[in-house]
Amino acid sequence: MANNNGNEVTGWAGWVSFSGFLLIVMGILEMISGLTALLNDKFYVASGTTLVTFDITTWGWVHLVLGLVVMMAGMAVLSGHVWGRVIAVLLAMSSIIANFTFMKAYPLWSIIAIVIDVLIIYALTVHGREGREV
Amino acid sequence: MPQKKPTNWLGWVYFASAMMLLAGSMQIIAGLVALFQNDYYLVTEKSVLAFSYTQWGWIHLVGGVVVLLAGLAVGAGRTWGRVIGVLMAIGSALLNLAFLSSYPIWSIMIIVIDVFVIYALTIHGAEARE
Repeated sequence: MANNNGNEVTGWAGWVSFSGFLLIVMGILEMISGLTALLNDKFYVASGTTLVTFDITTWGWVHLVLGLVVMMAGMAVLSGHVWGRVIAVLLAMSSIIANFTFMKAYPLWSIIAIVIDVLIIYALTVHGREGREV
Repeated sequence: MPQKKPTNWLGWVYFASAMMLLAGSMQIIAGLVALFQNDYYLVTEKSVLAFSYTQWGWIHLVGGVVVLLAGLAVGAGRTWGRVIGVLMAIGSALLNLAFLSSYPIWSIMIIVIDVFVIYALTIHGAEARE
């Protein structure tokens, strides 16, 4: 089987789709936690003063914007762009740091987000080259 | 000598490098919190093992910076980065074991990432170009 560039498609390209879809899931997760911080911050376990660096509203915007960008990076990865993979790894790393710092607000969400981010980094760095080049 | 073509498996080195950058940043954050906002932590100064929060803060901060720099070196294919990476990951896992009571989730997370770093560097580290 060949794709529209005439290159052979290997089974391993599956890892690239995997990371692309995970990035979209990740972006939606981030946006949910951002919207929760903005609209319903009583949901969170920690109040504003006990968070590191930012108050909860600032965190909300950070998560919302990060989530949106992560989702777009996921679409770029799915369409096979190499720059999409590079940006996606950097975004997944920033998202880990953001969730690590935001941990106290709602630990389980942050842990899930970090696990997904590590999977994304694994799939893109170890198997990223197996995707088709555009 | 002809230049050796990097194999697909070079990816493991980038993975290790990314994990080291993360472990380093996490440790720097833990260190800064210990120095400047230690009421964030769950236990008071008295219950922290071995050192005070200020001392722990500096230990985490310096350790984190070293891991971060070694992570950059690993990404650039340097052998010394890999050696330091493994040694620092072992050290950081032990330190976080001792520091665990302050904020268990952070410590557990850093230890898990340290294990990833050791795995990627020892099992797949030699696949990097020299």
